[in-house]
Amino acid sequence: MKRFIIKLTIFVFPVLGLFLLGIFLPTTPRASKSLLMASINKNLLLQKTQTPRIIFVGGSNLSFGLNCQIIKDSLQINPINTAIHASIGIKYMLDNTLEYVKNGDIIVLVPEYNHFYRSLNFGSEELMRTVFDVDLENIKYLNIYQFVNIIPYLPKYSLTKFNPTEYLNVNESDVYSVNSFNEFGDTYTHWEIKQKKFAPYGAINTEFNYDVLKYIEEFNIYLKRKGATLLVSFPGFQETSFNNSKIAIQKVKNELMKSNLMIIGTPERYKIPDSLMFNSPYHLNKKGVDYRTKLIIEDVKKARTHNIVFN
Amino acid sequence: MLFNSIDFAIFLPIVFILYWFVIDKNLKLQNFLIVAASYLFYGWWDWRFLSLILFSTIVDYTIGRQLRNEENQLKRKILLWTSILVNLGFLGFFKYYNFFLDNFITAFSFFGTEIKANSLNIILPVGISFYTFQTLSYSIDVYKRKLEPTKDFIAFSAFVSFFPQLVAGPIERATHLLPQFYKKRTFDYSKAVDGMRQILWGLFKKIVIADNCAEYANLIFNNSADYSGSTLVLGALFFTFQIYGDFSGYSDIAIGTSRLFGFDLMRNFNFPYFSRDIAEFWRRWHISLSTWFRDYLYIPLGGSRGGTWMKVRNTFIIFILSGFWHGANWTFIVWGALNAIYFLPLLLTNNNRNNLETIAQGKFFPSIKEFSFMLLTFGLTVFAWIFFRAENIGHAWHFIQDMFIGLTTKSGYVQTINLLYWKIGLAIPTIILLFILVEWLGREGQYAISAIGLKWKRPIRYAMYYAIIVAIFWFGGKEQQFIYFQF
Repeated sequence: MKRFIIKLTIFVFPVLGLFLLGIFLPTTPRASKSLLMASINKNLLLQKTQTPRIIFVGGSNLSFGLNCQIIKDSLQINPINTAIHASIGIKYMLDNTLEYVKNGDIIVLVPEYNHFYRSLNFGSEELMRTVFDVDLENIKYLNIYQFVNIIPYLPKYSLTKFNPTEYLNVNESDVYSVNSFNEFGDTYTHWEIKQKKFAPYGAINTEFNYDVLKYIEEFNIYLKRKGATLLVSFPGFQETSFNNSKIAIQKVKNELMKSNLMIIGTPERYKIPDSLMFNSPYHLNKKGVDYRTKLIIEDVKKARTHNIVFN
Repeated sequence: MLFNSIDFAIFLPIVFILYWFVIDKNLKLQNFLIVAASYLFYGWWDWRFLSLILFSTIVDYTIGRQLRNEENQLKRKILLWTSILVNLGFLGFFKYYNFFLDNFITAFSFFGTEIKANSLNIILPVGISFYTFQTLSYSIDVYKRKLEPTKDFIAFSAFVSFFPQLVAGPIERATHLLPQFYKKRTFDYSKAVDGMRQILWGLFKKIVIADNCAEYANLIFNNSADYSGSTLVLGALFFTFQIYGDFSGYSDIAIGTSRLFGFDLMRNFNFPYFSRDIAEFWRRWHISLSTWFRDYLYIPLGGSRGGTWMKVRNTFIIFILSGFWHGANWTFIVWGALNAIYFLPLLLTNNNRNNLETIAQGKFFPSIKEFSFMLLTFGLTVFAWIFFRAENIGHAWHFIQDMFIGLTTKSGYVQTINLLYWKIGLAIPTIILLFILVEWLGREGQYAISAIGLKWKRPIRYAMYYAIIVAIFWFGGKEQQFIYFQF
């Protein structure tokens, strides 16, 4: 028995050493051009943009779904689109944003429906890359559940550091790159690209995660302390995929309506016709972006006129 | 808890250490730990269904005890049928209720009668078909007096819920596994090392082969109308390797894990894609289910005795039920029936027990004849898997139609080559070819790498293991569910 344990430990040791080395090697040139790197610029926007501000927090549904120039012109307020990728997880997005929130800020949180199910709230591979590739200091935001979610991706991540293709002939993606965002943080490089073919999402069949709601409510308390206002809205979601997941979406709506949070719009309102999508059920094309931006402007205006106090 | 998850990577060493270091002197405690660990393992998915396992355990344990004292044949039969009805009742309700209801409504509407009945939103408990068949084997064997009923409830609970094979087999016989819970287990170094090696190979099959093939099989099957004939063939091939890697990978991990705890599980796969005819394929694919059906259904139905008609009837019953066991969908029934049709010529010409030994035993290359038959059998199997994978019969039918019609167009091949080159890349096909080679080289062992490299110098052998580990981590992280969990 002792022999087995000792031999197993000796066998595992080099593997662990290689993985640790890979994790702490510098970010590869390929990873340096990834869209996740945009979080550096987005954090700068959060730091430097003048008040009054409206800050959008969510997944790629927001980065591929807003035209902040229209919002700025219409609401006369400085917009910041912090969205990058849903798999970073709502918890990390909120923790990161909270650090930069100023008195009077309006935060519009738009979780994707999957964020309310299972543990996507705690992020996935993209969260791991955001921390290890972009800013290791942000590891302070991670709790045990986030670590559990990202650990399975660490070995592969570590091994990519030894892959020559990460260093040679690195081409930048047209829409998923650090340079795909405009001065407000919207992805704009796809606005001139034709719609692509993609499969709609099937039904969400997993268990509803009540902790997500609790976490957003806690976040709201911190925001209030900082003198900011939280509005929660719904993602622009492709109609076909929406119809496939009606029950799960209804559940999200019901639970949000029951909460103490300020909700703007309804899921049905943000059901986007298939023709307005770009390359996934959450990514909108230019027409879709303008349509959805118009909806969110109306909803924010309505919230203002219904005596919701924006500090 | 999935074998390919971080949860299991934490769970297994803890149970292992408790089992061998803390309570290694006490057999009862070891069995109790197995029960507790197994309930935790299963409850990780959905703790509510633990009550089903517990209920099934109590029912079969009690019936076993009563069968021991009961001499009246009629009462014995009633007891056996109680066990069968309870177990199959659960299975029928959770797995087949909606299927029968929908087909019932369709059948009546065909004759012009509209019936209104709502289907239920039933969640299928993971692995219900596996543990139901395992507990049934106990009741039947006790009834047939092949097995002495157990007095040890903990040992019996451990037998029913043994975590390595609880959710996707191998479906163990009580006569084989239950007695192992009565005997004191001592740690066996070579058995544990062999178990680790088998776990490693199982993880490779699942994470590297199955999960990567799944990505492209899903892409092609889910959008089959958009693809050419040759691309659809590629999709069917990807699924063929996906299902083998997924299920045999699970079995390898289950058997390997059991060996770490001093248990021997039955073999479930024996290189089925190297079979020379369908009969041989079924002696090598999901062996624990095939032999279960053979022993508890085929033979009681009369088996091969009683003339040609009887043999044909029994063969069809077994294959169709085996298909239906996989899921409440006509696609599985057609898949089973298709295999029965493949089997028929061999049965009628008494050639169904021709290829009992491993192909090209002791040689590297098979003969041209062997190779041709192997290729033919593989082709038939790939074709049958289309039904298994399709969403419904219509989907399978269109897939096959498009596949054959589209094979004649030149542009279709261009599409396939483009897909292979631009989307899939060369790494996955190369790894699949390497995998086939390793499986071929190791086909005379219990699993492909059971003997490969044992005579090599240690650094070379270790380099092979490290290469497998690197491949697992390289392709890992997706943590895909095993296909057979849904059965």
